[in-house]
Amino acid sequence: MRKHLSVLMVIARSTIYKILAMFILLVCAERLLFHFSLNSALASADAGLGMANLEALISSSRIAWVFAVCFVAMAVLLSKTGCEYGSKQGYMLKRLSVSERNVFVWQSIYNSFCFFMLWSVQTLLAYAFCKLYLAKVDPMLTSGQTIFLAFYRNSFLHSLLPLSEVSRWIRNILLLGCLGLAAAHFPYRQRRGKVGVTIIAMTSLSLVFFSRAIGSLGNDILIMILSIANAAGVLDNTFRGSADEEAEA
Amino acid sequence: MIEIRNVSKSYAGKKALTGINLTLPQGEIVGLFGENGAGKTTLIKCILGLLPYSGEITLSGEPITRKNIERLSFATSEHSFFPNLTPQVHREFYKEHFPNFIDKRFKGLMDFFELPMRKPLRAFSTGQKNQFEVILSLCQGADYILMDEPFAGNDVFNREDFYKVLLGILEPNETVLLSTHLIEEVSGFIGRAVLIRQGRIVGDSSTMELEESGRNLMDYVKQTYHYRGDRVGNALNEIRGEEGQI
Repeated sequence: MRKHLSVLMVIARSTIYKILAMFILLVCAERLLFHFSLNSALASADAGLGMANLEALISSSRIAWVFAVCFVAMAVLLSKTGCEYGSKQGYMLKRLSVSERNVFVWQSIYNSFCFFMLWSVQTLLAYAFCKLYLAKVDPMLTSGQTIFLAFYRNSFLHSLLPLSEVSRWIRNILLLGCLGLAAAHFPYRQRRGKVGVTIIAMTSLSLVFFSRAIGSLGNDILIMILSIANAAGVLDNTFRGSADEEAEA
Repeated sequence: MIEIRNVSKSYAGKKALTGINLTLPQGEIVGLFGENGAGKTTLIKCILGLLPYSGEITLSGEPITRKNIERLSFATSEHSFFPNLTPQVHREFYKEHFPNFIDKRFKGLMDFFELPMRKPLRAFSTGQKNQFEVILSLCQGADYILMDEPFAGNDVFNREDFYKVLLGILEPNETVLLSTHLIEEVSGFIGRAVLIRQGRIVGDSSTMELEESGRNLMDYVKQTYHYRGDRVGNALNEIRGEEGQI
């Protein structure tokens, strides 16, 4: 088990500091954007033009765009780990007592964890912005339900934290798992001189279909089916492929 | 002992190795020589199991698998380390995966070549990367150290230092298979020369046998390859003659 954990540590050490730096940038950029939007909304309210509600403020602050950029950056960063750019790491991996298949599994788990962390940071940050909104806005314009309603009405917030919409939770969990697998599949294929396109497909799919309004069951089911199909393709390619390689060797 | 029996390998129908038979007993420093595309790298990769092949390669009578692969180490000018990580992380990783890792040797060689322990390898110069690659292979604790053009990009003084260090630190049970073009540089340091040409072994001789027959390594290589020393002179004369006529 120690050998397996040391593989996981090597994978993590290759990216963890970059990912932490990215989280700091995400927090700073979104804080700035929300700050400007909130101040502008408060100025409008002071001028008697009315106060924007929380969900409108979240949309106008464009924090979803920052999240999208970080999401793509993370997909690129994780997919590059283990690729043979400047060094043929495959030569080392093939000489370990831990099989390359297990390396793939550990990398997938780590990748999914990183995507989960990105989701957690973004959700907490969005919640913190909501609390900030409540603290700054005239209490006459808000209620105890303001945050709760924003997470139902705003597509981005609702897709981050779908509350009681079970299909969206399942979709999100499947996306996390499949993105992890796809990001690990890219270097696995690259070490064999091939291109792993699943991560490109999954990243595009997530970007286009992530923010969806409450009740978009058809959309959720479509993403679930595509995620399962992609994950099955990746697993089949990796496990059957390495079994064939071992037989050939 | 590594035994290679009737090993052949093709790339897309083109023969890279044909019926290779070779034995590598423990405790030898063997030079593997050949022109570009002769099959040196392919042979080393077949030994390591990095490429599929036909024939048989055994290590102490057993096929080379994950169970005994730790007895082989590999240094290549293509590099096989993790470029985003530091030598210190590699040291910890190797200690975990290779139980015979020689930590004292690792520290000594890192100090000798003045390589930083906590700098990511991607920030090293090509020469330093080569040095680190070789250090890892020497410290893995392997019985067989396979090196494929490990010094490509290093200066002559650096290479000289490495040959001396190698001779000084190798234990009697450690075998080195060194594939290189630098025939004259390694002639005083290897114990046996294996020549490969167009995927076939065309020469295999110990340096002692060469000395006894009054030949040096370079002569042996030239003779085996039917090298015609007068070829360049004749060509130049022809070119000059043609120019004179114009």
